[in-house]
Amino acid sequence: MHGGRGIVTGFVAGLAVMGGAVLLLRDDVTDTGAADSGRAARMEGQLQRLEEAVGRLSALAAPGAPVSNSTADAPPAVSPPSPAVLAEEAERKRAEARASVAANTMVDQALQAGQWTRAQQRELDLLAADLGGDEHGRLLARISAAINRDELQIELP
Amino acid sequence: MHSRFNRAFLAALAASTLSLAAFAGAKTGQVVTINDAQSQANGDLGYVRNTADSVQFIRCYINGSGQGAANGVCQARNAAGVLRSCTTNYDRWLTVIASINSDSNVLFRWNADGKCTMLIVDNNSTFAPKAP
Repeated sequence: MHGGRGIVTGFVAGLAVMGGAVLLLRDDVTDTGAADSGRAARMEGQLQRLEEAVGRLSALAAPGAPVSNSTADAPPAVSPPSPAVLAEEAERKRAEARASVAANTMVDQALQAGQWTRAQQRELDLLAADLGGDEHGRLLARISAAINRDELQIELP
Repeated sequence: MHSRFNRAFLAALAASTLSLAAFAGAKTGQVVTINDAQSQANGDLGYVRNTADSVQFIRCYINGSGQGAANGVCQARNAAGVLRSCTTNYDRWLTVIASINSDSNVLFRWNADGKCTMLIVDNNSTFAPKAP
């Protein structure tokens, strides 16, 4: 789209420059008897108009300039997540739910037994890969609080 | 014969002097202490390992495998078998835990929720390294 606008702008600018050149040449041919100062004044005026025209065209062609195409003003479209991404997210949530149930069950059992074994510690460490960090921290804090109340003993780490 | 004996004596004297110099330097050692009134545990990793009993220990570890913040745990058990523990997920304290080495002194405090409320690590030349 920007390329097309550039071509149009270039074409119009070219026409303007050509028109200016024709006017200058015609003046050269037909105004042979005019005073040099008058010619110079007309040429300056024509050059000024050309410069203004080129300036307006340049402003239109600038990257931030408004364009008439209505789709260009629309916000960028947000494509919905692909089915593969949705399936991956659903599976991650299922794994997190499974890990949460397993970890909470294991901690509950340990608190009832009053013993936190190395195997349970290792299992919780592994389950943490699927748990949210906050839930893992909450479970570890439950274990620590129970230890500090002398309700839970641990094997040598 | 007499001069050879003198030389050997002097060499032995020099060696023993150098040996003593190698063992010079301030040394301290801290077993695991649990202070429930202050909710505080303290101990030297190396010194505690080198004690004769097989009950006391002090440790901290970080588990960063979760999907959210990493979690750190510090635990200590004194020679009497009293065990205390705390948990943290503060980045600052996880960095402190990561600075622990086998010669470190670790001090931590906890609250009723099992969360760490203080964590200090001291890496100090006066602390004993772990013996095998």
